[in-house]
Amino acid sequence: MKNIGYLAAGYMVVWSGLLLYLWRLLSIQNGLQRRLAVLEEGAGPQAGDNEDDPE
Amino acid sequence: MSRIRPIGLLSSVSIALFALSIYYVLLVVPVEREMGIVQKIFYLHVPMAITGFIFFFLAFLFSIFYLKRQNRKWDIFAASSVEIGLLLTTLVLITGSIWARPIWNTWWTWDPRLTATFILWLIYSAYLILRLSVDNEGKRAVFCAVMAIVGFVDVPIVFLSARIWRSIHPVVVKTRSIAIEPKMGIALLLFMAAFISLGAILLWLRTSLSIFEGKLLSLEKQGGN
Repeated sequence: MKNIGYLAAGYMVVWSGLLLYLWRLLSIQNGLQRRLAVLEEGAGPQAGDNEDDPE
Repeated sequence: MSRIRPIGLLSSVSIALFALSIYYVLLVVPVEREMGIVQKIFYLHVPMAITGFIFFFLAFLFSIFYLKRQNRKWDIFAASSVEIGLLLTTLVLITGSIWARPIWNTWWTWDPRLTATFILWLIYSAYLILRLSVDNEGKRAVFCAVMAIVGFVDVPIVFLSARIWRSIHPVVVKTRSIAIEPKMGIALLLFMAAFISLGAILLWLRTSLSIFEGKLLSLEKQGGN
């Protein structure tokens, strides 16, 4: 069981690296969805479109 | 009944392959006599290196397609492949270094195989930096395609380096066979399949995001006009 620490470190590095990359992809996806939401809000009904609106 | 999406199916296969590979490596494969338990890093290190090469080869192919057809889709595929290949090569360098410490008594040595792999890492890191530094989309795609094609020259050099030059790096995968015990070979093939399936999933995710980003950019431009 000598050097088991090196083996554990090797496996941990690989799983952490892969998870970090997946996390990066998820954060890119979140950013894009936020941009899409802003775009959809901008394309929504403008002030004055609805005559019943007291504003 | 809901339809099973291919990506969902591939993800399940990939998770199952990883679980099986880890079980097989830790509980079935015997401990190597000379190197001891640390040799088991090899079952991750070698499949990641080969899968990385496959992704650099894909980037090379997609870049040729881009230069031939000038279709933005191929540029996105090439960039995504480089990103995944670079991720795997980074992990290969780190796991190799962790293995080398107890076996070679050093974290790093300028051996031909290690040096060629480090150069490969630098080439594809430069590719990603180049993508960030050119604003013009067309020019960026052409520059990057040329770089991915030229950079691929280093992949066969990495593969052959331990055979051509005097190297202390072990040569396990020979041109026609694998020079290891059958159970070790099975473990290697299991992890190979697991990493290839994971790579395919990551490629699908990365390209989908880039395509979505492209559509969003054109929508934003339309909104700005």
